[in-house]
Amino acid sequence: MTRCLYRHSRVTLLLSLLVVLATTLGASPTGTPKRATTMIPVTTKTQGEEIPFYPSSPGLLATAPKGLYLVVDTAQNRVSLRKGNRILYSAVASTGSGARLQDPRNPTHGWVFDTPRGVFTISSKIKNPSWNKPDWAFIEEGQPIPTQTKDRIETGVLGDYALGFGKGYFIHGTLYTRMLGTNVTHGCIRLGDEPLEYVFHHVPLGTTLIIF
Amino acid sequence: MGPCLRWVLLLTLVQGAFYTSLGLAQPPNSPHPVGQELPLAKTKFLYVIVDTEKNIVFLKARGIPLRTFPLTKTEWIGDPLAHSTILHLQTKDPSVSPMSISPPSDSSSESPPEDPITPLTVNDMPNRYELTFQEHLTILVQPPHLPSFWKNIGHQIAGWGQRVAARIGAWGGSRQYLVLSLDPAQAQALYWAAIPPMTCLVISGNPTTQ
Repeated sequence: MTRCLYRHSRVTLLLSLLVVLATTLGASPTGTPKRATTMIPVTTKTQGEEIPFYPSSPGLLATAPKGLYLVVDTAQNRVSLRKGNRILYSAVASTGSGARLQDPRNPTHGWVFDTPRGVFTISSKIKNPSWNKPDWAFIEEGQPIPTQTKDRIETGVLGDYALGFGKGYFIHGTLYTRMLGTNVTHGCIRLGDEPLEYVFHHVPLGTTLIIF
Repeated sequence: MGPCLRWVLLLTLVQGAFYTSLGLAQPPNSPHPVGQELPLAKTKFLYVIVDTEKNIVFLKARGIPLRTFPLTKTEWIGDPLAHSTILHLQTKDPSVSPMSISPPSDSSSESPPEDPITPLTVNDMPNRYELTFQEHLTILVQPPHLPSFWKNIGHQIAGWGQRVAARIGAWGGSRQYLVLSLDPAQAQALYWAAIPPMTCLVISGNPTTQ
């Protein structure tokens, strides 16, 4: 009886050890991490927050943008308006999902919905923009692709303003404000109504836009 | 002691305490090899600076730091780089596959679902990985040891495996390895930011450990 109990406790101990080890290894950083659910404030205004480690050497300062510039953090989904080493304004945004869509008409063709990274320039500013829906928007919705351009135009979905930064990418508004703070777009940068208006009225054409 | 001198001494002490708290001996931009960074800062691309002397990684564009990643430890496996070098990122391992969107089969639905995709976020990125550069250097990113005993065992085993593979790779001198210990969240953010063929300036000095 005692021997049986002893064997039973050894087996239990061994099993417990295995479960703990498996749980530990499963929760290790190489495994799939759990997605954090956090509440993100819609807008945060900051006045003059300083950027640490801003360059001091004249050579690097000469390469830095002059005047106002926009910075988009695709990991944190935030847009900030900066001047020199100061953050003047910051707001929550939505950036590219990185998802892929296969073109059913051509197996070798598809789209990746990433927000491009690098240094860009605000090249257009539009009030009351309408969306000229590209092919992928119809494919994604399972709708036939129209042959007439007028059938592609959709109004009221991009908010009151849009700022273009090349190759069909825009900073614009959204109907889906509850998705702000997440990576859900097709590459454009979405802002809430108030931040969009602020950015539109404070950012002139030719402003440098840095996306990382 | 005059009031000006007292202020200077106070500021020096505060500055010293600040940089010490960050694990830095001095401001990282003061003795910076600006000459090597300048060509990168003049482009429209993002770039990374790995400063093994100051134990810090910068993500930059146009000379501006966009994000800083304080390192808890840097270690060379094999010979360190003889001098600061500009490298080009070739691959990230493991790679993270993007989600695929499947168009709805029933196209007669009234309206499309609101953002039906489940996007990848920075939290989905690994925090232990390898950045392989075209120039025969691989950076191993590892989380530092965690206080939990059981979690630490998993980390130790994974880190040990990574280092053994690196030592085998470094044997014969065909490839150099640099191990960076980064806080897990910071490591995930660095993985997110590093996209091939991103340029990286590795500032090589005496390997330091904190």
